[in-house]
Amino acid sequence: MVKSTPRALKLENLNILIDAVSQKYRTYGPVAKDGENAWEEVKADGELSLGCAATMLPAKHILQPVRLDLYSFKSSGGFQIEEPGFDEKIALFGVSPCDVNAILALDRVFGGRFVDPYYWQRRENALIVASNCTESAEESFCTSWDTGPELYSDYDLLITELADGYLLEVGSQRGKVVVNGLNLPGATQEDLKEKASRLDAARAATKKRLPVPPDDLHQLFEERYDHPIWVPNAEVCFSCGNCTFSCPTCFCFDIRDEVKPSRKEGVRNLEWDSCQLLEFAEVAHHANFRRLRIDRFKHRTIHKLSWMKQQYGLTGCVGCGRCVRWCPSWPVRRGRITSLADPVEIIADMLEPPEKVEGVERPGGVIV
Amino acid sequence: MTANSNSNQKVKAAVFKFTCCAGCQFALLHFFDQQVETLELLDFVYFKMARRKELDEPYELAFIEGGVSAPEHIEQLKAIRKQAKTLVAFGACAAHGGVPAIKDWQTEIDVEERAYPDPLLVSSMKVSPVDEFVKVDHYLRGCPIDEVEFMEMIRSIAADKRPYVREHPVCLECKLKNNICILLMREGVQESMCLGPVTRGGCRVVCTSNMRACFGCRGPMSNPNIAEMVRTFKGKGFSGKDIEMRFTEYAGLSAEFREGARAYYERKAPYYKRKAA
Ligand code: SF4
Ligand code: SF4
Ligand code: SF4
Ligand code: SF4
Ligand code: SF4
Repeated sequence: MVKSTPRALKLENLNILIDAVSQKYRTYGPVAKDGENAWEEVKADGELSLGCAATMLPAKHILQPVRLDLYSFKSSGGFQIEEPGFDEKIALFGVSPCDVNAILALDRVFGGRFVDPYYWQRRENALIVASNCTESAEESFCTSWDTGPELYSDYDLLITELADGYLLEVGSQRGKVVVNGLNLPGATQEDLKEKASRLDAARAATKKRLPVPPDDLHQLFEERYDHPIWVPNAEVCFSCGNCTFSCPTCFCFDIRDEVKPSRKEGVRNLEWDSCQLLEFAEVAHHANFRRLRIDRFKHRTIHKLSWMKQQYGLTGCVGCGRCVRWCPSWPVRRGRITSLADPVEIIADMLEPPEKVEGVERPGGVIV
Repeated sequence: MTANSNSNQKVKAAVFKFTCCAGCQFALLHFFDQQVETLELLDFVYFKMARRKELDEPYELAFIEGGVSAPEHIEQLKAIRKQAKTLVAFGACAAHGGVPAIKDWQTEIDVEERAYPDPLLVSSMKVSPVDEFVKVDHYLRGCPIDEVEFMEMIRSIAADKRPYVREHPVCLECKLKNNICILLMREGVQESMCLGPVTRGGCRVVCTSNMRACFGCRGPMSNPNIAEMVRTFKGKGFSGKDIEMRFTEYAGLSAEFREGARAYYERKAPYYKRKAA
């Protein structure tokens, strides 16, 4: 990404910027939906719900659609392939710092040894309008990974809410083009100070923390791979995949061919998949590398918290708190009702002395 | 080679109705508006709701709609199985007994007395899914069946390949649609008793997309965690009766949902005792 000296501007209201962005880009952002926030297309003069409260799906479904036709094929008159292509420019408006870091992780996954053209045709031209978090949701623990509440780089534009408007920082040439011509006033020293103090407050308000330093996680999971706590945890897991679909760094997908009735043509398409589902690791003859629920539960946890770091150099968890929020299973651990998928709780489980583990108690009591 | 290996030849298909509301046939009738190209692969030699024509031709593909609830059904079903190369359980009732199977949770005489003036004149049975009596090749689940899944099934049968039928939970499609989870969002109301985490998807989440809880019409997913579902509902404050009703609404005869329904009560119904023995 192009680096230039951040230029700080003052923005009176958000709609000025939304209008400017949506003139040049198809714009997506977090909007209110059924009492929660979800990333959807922002309509003209639509309201955005910015803030830390994690959205339903993260913005990854715009860069990597949940279902995507990769190409169509024909076998009449020689084998032909046609790619739909993608030449639209999209803008992600209001990406939280943790989610920007998650996008950087996806960039590594889809841009490493094997470059995924379908991801990059969207990502390459995407304008990232990031939004610093001036409040903290109880599920998030971004401070533990240093992925929030403040973003330091890798944005085109960055907004921070102030008492009387927004601080707008320009992080790239692309961002500059958008704000040029808006005639925005420069930010004052007071504005910059207010930003710093607001973000300090958000940092202090983020109470949830990883119980160990991130660098120790690899060793912890290596040593405790056979910890007995996995057993009661897996027992209460639905294997539903909600934790992975809602995770901004999960990238797994399945590819299928849909053949037309003529059997002469068809479409190859992609659909999100999850390691939590039984069929995920199934190969020919119904052989399955992770048939057991416990193996799937372990895989997701360790892939997020350790293996992704080993493989791609960036953490597979950015502390957004979505899995905490959207896991349907809520066992009692350490005397509190907790979300089963919560990475912080799972790490705390790992730290329990193995000989002490007896089983997790349920709020609904035990049934036979 | 099953059904049809020659692409120019249509697959002769027949639709049979047993104990159900005929809603799946009705749904099929509507597919003709949209999906002519795929339906052209079939030649319906017997489809009572679509045309007045008796069964007077052989067929290769049989769609069985509805569950079995009378002794004569068993013979009819076995005769169909003998003739058909491919037999498809068509809809929730054929696959899991469906709504009619709610009566299975009461003694048969109670049901007969409520429904008929003289129970001695009828010989009804507990409702059973089709695969209780004959081998089923493919299942089209749901109340009613889903159009996309049906078309995939037809194309696969015509091409003699294994159809892609989802075994994943309803939650998956809920997430793909960016729906807000009602199990976690809503409290105390029946609409929050969502069976999505244990129910097989493929319905394109018509219910949860409209803020209605999934009531499990497609039956259990590939490895459902029923005990956890029961605990979750119990933790949300629902009574044993509520939970039993939720599990038995559409697919109570599946082994997995029966486990959920039985988690609280020892039932009187002899059907379950027999199955458990
Ligand atoms: S593992 Fe959970 S908290 Fe971490 S990034 Fe994924 S969804 Fe967010
Ligand atoms: S946790 Fe599972 S779904 Fe997510 S990236 Fe890893 S393997 Fe894929
Ligand atoms: S951890 Fe929670 S969200 Fe993830 S698969 Fe298990 S039950 Fe579903
Ligand atoms: S609403 Fe139901 S089906 Fe949808 S995610 Fe929640 S529990 Fe799963
Ligand atoms: S959401 Fe549940 S009840 Fe509704 S159609 Fe799908 S499987 Fe059936």
